[in-house]
Amino acid sequence: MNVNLNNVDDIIRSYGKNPGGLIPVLLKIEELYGYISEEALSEVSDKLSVPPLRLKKIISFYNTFSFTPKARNVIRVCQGCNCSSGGGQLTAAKISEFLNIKPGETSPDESFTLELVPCQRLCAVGPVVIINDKVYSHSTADKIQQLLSEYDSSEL
Amino acid sequence: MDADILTALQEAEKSIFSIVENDSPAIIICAWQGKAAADALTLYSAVQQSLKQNKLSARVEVMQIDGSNLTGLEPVVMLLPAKVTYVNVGEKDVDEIVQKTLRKGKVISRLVFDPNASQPSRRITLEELQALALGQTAGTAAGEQITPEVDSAPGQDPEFNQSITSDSADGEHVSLSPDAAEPAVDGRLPGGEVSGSAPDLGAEAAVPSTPAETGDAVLPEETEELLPVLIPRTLKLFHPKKIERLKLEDRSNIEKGTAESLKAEYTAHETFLAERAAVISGTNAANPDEAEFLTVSELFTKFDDSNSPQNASVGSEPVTGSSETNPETEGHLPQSAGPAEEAASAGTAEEEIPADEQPGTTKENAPGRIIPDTTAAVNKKDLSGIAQALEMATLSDQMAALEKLKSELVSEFSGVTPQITVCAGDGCCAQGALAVFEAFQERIEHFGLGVTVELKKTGCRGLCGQGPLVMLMPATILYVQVKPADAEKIIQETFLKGNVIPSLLYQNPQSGKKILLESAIPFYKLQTRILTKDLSRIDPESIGDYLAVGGYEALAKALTLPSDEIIKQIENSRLRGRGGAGFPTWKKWDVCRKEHSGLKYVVVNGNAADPGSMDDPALMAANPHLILEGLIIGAYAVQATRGFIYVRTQFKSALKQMEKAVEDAYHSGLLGKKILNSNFNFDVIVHLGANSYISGEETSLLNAIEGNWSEPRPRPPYPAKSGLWGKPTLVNNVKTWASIPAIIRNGGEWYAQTGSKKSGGTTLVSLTGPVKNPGYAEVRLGTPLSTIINGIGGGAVHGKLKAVQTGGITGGFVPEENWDVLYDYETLQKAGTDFGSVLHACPENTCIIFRTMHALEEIRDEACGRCSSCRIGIPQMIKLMEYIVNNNSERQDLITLKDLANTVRDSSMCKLGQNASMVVLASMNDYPKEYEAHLRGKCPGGNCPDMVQYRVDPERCTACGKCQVVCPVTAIFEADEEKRMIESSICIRCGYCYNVCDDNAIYYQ
Repeated sequence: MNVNLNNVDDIIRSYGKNPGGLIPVLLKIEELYGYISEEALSEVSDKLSVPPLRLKKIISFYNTFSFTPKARNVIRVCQGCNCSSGGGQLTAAKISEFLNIKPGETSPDESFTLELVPCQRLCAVGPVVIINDKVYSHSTADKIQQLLSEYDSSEL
Repeated sequence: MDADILTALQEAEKSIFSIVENDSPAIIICAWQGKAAADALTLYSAVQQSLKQNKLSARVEVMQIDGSNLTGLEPVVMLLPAKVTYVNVGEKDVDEIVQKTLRKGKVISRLVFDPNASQPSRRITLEELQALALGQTAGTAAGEQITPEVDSAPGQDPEFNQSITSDSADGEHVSLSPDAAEPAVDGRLPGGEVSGSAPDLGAEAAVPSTPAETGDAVLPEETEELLPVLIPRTLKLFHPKKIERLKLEDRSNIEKGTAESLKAEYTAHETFLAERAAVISGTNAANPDEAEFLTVSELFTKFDDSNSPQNASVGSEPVTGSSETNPETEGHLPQSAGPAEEAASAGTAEEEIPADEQPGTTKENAPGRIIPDTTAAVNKKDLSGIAQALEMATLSDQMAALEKLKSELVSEFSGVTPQITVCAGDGCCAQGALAVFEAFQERIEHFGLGVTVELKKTGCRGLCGQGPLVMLMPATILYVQVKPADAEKIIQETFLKGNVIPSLLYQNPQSGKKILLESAIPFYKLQTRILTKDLSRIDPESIGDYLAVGGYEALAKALTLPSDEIIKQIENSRLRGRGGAGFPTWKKWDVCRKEHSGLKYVVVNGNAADPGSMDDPALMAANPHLILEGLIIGAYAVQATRGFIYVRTQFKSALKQMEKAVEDAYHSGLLGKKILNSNFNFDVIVHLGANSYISGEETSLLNAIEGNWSEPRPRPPYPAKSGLWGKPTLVNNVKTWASIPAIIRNGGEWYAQTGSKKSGGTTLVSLTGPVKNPGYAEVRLGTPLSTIINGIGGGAVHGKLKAVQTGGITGGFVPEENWDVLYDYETLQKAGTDFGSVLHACPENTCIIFRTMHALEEIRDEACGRCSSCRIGIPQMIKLMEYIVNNNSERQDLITLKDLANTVRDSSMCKLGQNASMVVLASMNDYPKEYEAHLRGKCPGGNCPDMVQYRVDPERCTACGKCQVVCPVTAIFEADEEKRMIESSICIRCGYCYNVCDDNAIYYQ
């Protein structure tokens, strides 16, 4: 993985100087790269003088962060109580079956990552499935499956 | 040209209907090069999908046609044997087409090509448009043009009503056969419905193809399915007398009381205008400077001059046209200016006034300098202008300066320009609101209406289930479920002609009738709106919009008050923490204020931890300045110098808007050093927070901000004494902060009037679960729960509701018979549950134990792990509950569960662990019978697979097939042609089929 640390430096420059800027820095890195790489972690550790072990402890506390890279297309299935009782659970299972990956995993060709996410506050239009920040409201397992089969392995 | 389109459509129809067999059902998607082909592709799959879901068989074919004349109408779909052609078919429409047209043979009129609707768009040249603009906006001419049309309506009543009736039900009464369509033409049913047969299309095309100028004669026919209640090009309501003559309530599809509410809205708008006029002239009186008034009128002239003649006439229209308001406006001026002039010893020269009015001010701060500057600031997107205007005045002038700024901004947008506001909340965006916005943008540009109508994005307005929402201001007409294709019609019909399109109005689910105005929709009618009052006027990205509704006036006022006076006002308001605990806000503030510390913090808790709480992120995204203003006032009251606005990273739009708001506030001098020229300095950081449930807890939030893992801290010391980095910290919920400006502006007593005895004001609630209007709403404290669920929420989508869970996933359940309980801290606690912003409605077939178990699972995943009782106790409780739902339990398990829950409650440090056990205890207290039944192997809720069988009553089943559509595991089969049956080995007991069965044929036991 080649990680462009310039961006990490930029993030540290703009957020790190604030009091309590550590978690925002990590969140921004997560948002940009999709995960917290070792390189980024040591960079943050250096620049903000936080011991790496402590950083890892913080990162592993919040389930927003991950240590493994994500695929190009990230499928997030809302598991909030409204969505899951409205069929979200089944949707997740069907997608999982269709892509042959477990929740949290990335498909072997690195085209899809399936994530189960907590309530996205879109209960009014649920069940929702979010694919790369595009929200699919009132989604059903069939609809998403169709969507995925049409765009399988290509850019969504 | 539409004639070409019609012929092209006819030809396409002819060619296709000649090839394809007419008898068997078929859906033909027409494709040609370009967008149509792409659309056809998506449609094809959507149709296949829908057919599968509806268990219908029909041929689906994609045919190539010559579509060179049909651009803008794609995708085109033809149906057989109905022989009907639909244009601009969206993916969303497919289901309806399959269900209505294919299954029942009914035509969906809104999808049929309407030559009238699209006619002017093809026909009018720019010159004609200009002529039209001049003709319609030249004073009373507009009124006269419209009057005959309006008057003629009652005269035609029988036919008129008839045609409306048939339109109202989406053309359900219209027969499809060509023979039946012909009388319909005589009965003035032009356009849409007729295109069922090709020859009629031609006949129709001849009628409306007269030029737009002579359109008056044709108008009554054209607008039959429309309601002419607006003044063309203004989006303002007609005078009540005209509205009365419309006899709206005689029209079968319009809600009773519509005329009343229209009148009310009209008067309200008039008062609004009059008040604004008073503000404008009032500021003149405060600074008795006649030139000031001239600046405003000069502004109009400048506005007129700088624009093309077409725009000029529109710009001047409010000045000359709305004759009801302007005499008042002008009438106010001499009255209010009179005494003030005396006070200022009739000073007219600019130099004299500062000497009289502001003896202490320096030359730079003289009002004489402010006036030109505020006029410069009138462009509400011009931040430097706003900043300049505010900086020029000293603190005592800030109120006046803001007032003046407000009046300038108001005169810029509310009096002059009609607005189309598109809700761009997360819910609406998920349903395509941005596409709608772009469609409007494109259409407005296309017609060159950029100056005459303002298009605006606003934040979420709560009615997400009906999105995308489009609001027309100032008439406050709300269009729901708007599609991009509707933009054209809204501009054409509603904006340019003043006709309201009933098919886009909200339909009251109870009566099935349409409601015209936003305020008459029960969802909004039953709300008490203080925090969300101005959402439809505010573009969250614009600080000018916020200033125009009186924003930051409360701050200016607060900065002139001593801090104990501010806290006194909050005490009087009886505001209590909206996060759920209900601690009196003023006490917290008072403790923090009395702490002696050089550094104090204020924090907005925007974690909105409870799943389903849409209200906090929505408010942050819709009106960020309201929260920011509250925060600045709070910081001033406790003398804090730094503020944090904690927003979860998951709330992307809230984050974006909050950041923008803070940035704009810095640019306008509302944050930073010497706020509004006072000695108060305050900095705000928008803090990005990880998505974590526990961070919603006050002390955990502090840990999260400091950059630690978010665990709760032992209390005391309370954060107000020792919080962030050991300094006194004031943490309040988003809604609490947002309530502050209204309290300071109007006084604590005013705010307290709204609420219940012990707690004042309003709060936001999120409604989730199978209610008709899921979303968020603002209610006053002390509103009965039944009003919220059945009134605002619209009741259950299907069947009945069993209970409502308040206070988030860990709250208790309130059974339906107790819904008269008032929504307030104490009463809810008495009912055995918690105050919280989420109200989750549970359908009739909910197993309380199953749901409690799910809540525990969610809590288990979010727990921080600090207290062992919570870390170990919750999984243990889940295990015991698994025994219960899997029919493996004995009585001893219930006793153990209760013991365990009590232990976890007593030994957990924070609310998370305590609440987890509370939900178990509450469910055991409220529904002991359910637990008993589970011990006997029965599940009254019908969710536990080992105890319940879902069956179909063959006597009642009508084989409608609805259950098959919703079954997520396809466990429902056709026993024979007339009946359905459920295969128990596949069924997962989700109960969806039970909820959709209209015949009550599905039961469980």
